[in-house]
Amino acid sequence: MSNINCVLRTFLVIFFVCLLAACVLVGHAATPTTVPDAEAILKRADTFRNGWPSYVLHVKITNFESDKADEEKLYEVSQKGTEKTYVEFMSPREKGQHLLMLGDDMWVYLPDTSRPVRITPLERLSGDASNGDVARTNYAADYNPAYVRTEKVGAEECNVLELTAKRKGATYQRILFWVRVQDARPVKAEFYLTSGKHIKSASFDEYASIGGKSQLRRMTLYDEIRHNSHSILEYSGIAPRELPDKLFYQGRTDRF
Amino acid sequence: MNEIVSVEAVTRRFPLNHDRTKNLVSALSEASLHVEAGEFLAIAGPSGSGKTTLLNLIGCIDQPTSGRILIEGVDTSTLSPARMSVLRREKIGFVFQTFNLIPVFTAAENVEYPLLIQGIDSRVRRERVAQALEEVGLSARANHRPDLLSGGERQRVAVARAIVHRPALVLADEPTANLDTHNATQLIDLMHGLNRRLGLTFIFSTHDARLLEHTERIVRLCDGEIQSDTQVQSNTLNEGGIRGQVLASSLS
Amino acid sequence: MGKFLLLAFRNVFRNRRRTIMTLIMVGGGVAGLLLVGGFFARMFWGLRESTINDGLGHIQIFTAEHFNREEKHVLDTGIDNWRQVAATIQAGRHVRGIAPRIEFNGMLSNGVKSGVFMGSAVDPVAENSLGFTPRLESGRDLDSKSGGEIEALIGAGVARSMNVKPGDGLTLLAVTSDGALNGIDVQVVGVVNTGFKEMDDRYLRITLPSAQRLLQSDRVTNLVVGLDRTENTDMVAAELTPSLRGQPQQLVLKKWIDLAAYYKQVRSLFSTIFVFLGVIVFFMVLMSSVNTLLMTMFERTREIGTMLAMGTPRAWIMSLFILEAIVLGVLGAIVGVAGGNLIGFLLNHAGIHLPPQSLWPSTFSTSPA
Repeated sequence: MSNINCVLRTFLVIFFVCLLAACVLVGHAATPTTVPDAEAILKRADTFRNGWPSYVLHVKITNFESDKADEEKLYEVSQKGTEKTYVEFMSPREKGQHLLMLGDDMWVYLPDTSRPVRITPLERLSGDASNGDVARTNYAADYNPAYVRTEKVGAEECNVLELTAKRKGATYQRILFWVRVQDARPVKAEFYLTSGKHIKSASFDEYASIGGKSQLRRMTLYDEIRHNSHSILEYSGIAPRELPDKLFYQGRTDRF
Repeated sequence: MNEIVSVEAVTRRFPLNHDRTKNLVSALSEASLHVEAGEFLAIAGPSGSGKTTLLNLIGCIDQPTSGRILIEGVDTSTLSPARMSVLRREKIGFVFQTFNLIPVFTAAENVEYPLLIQGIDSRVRRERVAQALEEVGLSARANHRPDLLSGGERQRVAVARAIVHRPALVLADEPTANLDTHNATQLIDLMHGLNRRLGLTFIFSTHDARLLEHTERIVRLCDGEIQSDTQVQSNTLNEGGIRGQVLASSLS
Repeated sequence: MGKFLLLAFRNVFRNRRRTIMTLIMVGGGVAGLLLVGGFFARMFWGLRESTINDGLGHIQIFTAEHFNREEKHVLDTGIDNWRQVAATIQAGRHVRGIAPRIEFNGMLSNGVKSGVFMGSAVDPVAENSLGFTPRLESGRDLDSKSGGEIEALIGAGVARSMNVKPGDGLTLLAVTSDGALNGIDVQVVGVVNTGFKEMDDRYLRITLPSAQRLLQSDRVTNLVVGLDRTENTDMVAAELTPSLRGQPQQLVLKKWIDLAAYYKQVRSLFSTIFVFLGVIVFFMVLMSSVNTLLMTMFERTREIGTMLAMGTPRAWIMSLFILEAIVLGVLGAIVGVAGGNLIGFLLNHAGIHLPPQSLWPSTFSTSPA
């Protein structure tokens, strides 16, 4: 008789231990996912506009005042890494002008002048597009992201990130950034000044596959102060390219 | 004979302090007096007897508390201040103890004053002034200011001023009090002379007994009451008593 | 009634000393106000002339658009056919000269640092002929005939912040009249000190052709007209206004007084002070005269009583005193006017300059160039 008790007891102990272990394992597997990694999301979002470390693209900016189209301006953007951008002004009336971004500094170079003029990324380039909207699109380098919430925008589930400027070269003080949950593809953004004023909004409208990567083809910038003007930026000719350092030369030489 | 002044049971009370109901003092009590035209009348009495009060009431400078005063038959209490002003201007002449000449006017201009305020034409004024100054014997002093005249001369200018407009009545309140004896008697004689020559009625007050010797009628006042009212024959000086008719009885 | 006036007059001089004191009081007040008024008048004149000679001119011509709306791009409310308009005006009487001007702004850069400028473009010859010379701290004025470099005058604050001096170069950046960015290199030939820090920090001046090249426009913002004498302004304005009609653009004429905000403020401030002063003086003179009058009234109680007793109407007594007061007042005024003028005359010829002669940053140019 005592033998059977012994066996029964042992069996029950082992059973309960296994049950406990199983619970623990199941419990472990059932733990909800942690807060999304904002840094990672932002880095991924940036790749939709900065697909390669070194690349070139063309952007056409069309400005609308009360929905009436103004003229178009063309620019060629050459970006190397996150610290060097060179923007050539291609429109016939702006021929010979170019913009240079090095780190936190930005200059505009005008033909027939012997020295550049320092400008800020927030200053207007064309219509509602600031210099920074074209030349500084790498948010991860300029902003500290924080996850705010997830919400649906139209049909898409989005992560909302709050970006806070972390260096003086950043275009805006604060950005609210909506990106798709599934692939961090930018959907829309709201831009805020230091005073807290909401000055612009953006919608990232169209994407296309270039060299296997999904790249932004069209975005719209809306003026939140005057409410009757907006600018459409259309990207084309997006391609990776090796860019020599001497393209980003700060001094004044004849362009090559 | 017409009555110039009729004082009928006139009383004048003054409040001694600001409260008008208490401490009333009677400056004049139930005084009655009738003056005919052309009379030369003295109101005599010691200081405080009410002489000035009586003269002020007759001259319409003051109003009686009770009783009434008639000037040429007109009850003064019925007159408005403006009408009283007119009355004084036309009917009464004043001579004051302290002369009261306007210091910035010459003698002639002072005499001219009553005519000036009646709006009389300047040519007529000039004539009448010259005449009046002649009457008082001061033609030579016509253009002198009062500060260049002696006391007696000043009072004579005042008299000329009081008669220049031929008023019905000339009132003189202690006219000789500031003059020496010689000038005093001279002044009373002057006034008496004007009274006789021009027929002007004179009423003057004095506390100087010597002057009473020249008067025709004396009204004696004491403590606000008329003691006696006696006629005296003017050109007979009698040392002792008073002759003639006694008009009014004494009042207690 | 004449006698009463005479009486009033004689009464006034009854107490010689007191009357003289009162007259001095009244006269002093009047004279004081006259002198202060004269001083203020001179100050206004000085400020007026210095404002005009500093570059405001006597009359300025703009398009009506200029005042109706903000310009979208530079010079879009400018005057098109300004040369013709200038020629028409130049023919008018009393016109000494006309200076065209362009007002614009933009950025300047020394290669390292950028700053904002508020610029004007002028015709140096026209400016000089009207006597408008900038206050140079160093260097020289613009030369209208310089063939090579584009010359610029900058404010002292600009020179400091850009760390440049005459002979150095800067680059100007501006938006053209059709909205494009344009830039030119300029050479600093002179540094100007306007006396106003806010202006010096942003002051820039270039020639008219230079600005027209930078801004890609033939227009000017306004025409500044200088006359021979400021007093002719209204007359000339009336004569010119009809000749401005029938122009392709609607033009308006502004007189200097319409544009001299600072002058108007100063003038209004000092006028208020003067009125205030006048009220105080009036009040004091009034009180002292009333005092004198009350004193004499009380002194003459017996006299007044006598006059009333003799039947003088109350109103006449009042009129007498009022007459005396008027006589006193009139005499006091005469003393004041005479005295004030005399003192003024003496002050003027003694060469005493009451302060402050250097109240305004500009020089006190009293005669036209």
